[in-house]
Amino acid sequence: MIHGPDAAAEVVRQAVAHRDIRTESPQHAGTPAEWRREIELPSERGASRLIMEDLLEQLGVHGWPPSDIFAIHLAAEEAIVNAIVHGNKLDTSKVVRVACVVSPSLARIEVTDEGAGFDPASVPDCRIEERLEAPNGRGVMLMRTFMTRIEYNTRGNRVLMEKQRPPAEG
Amino acid sequence: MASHRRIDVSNVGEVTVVKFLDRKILDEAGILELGTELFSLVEQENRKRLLLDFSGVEFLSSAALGKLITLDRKVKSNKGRMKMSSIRPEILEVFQITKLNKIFDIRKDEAEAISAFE
Repeated sequence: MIHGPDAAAEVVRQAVAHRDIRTESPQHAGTPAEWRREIELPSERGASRLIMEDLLEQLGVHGWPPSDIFAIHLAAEEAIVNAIVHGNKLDTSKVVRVACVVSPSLARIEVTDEGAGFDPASVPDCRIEERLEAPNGRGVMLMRTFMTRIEYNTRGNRVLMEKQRPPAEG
Repeated sequence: MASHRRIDVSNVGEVTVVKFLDRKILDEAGILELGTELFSLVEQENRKRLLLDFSGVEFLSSAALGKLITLDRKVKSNKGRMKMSSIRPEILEVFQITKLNKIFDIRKDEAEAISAFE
């Protein structure tokens, strides 16, 4: 038996190891384990493709329907492009961190840039008549509409988006 | 006629039919190029009747929407007309969410769109 702090550390170590096993390999046939990925993207145009292919594949593996995959793809793309272009302003000394979780019932994407942040409430509503023809400003609205939950941190340089899916019937 | 990398241009009567060569319109450099090619149809070639056929398009980002809005404005200020057709349901939803279906003339398919020019 191990006692004291070592015992606590051992419990934590086992718990972590257990979680890793669960996330790395399927538990049972037909119920794929949760997929997690964290990646740092360079602040270059097109860098979203470094995560997007895997994300889309995992959504398919976890049984998400094509219409939801489209929605999550669009929201993730808009968030990452905003972080690269507006957040980090294409500064190659800065990175964009993307953390994804995909399970059969939840897709969560967190995107963090190293910019000064912005106030999402300051983005004007592009649906009002006089802004309908403005070429910019639709990304954040599409993210809000397509995802179940979207939250910015106070500084405005990190966005957390979630889409939930009700359990399959039958 | 100028050669294009992002679009395929053909003529049906007086209508210029534009098909997109990318299934996913999201790469920013590609969108920039797409914009240049679309705008030249109006600004250089003075085409008055444009039909954008989305039948091959599976995905487009808000940056691509921006180019379509700018193109629509250029067409209108050149006293031309623009229509869109064969848009898959997910992309149609994007147009509806952003209320762009109010400014774009969206038709079911190419045949319906072409006859709507008459």
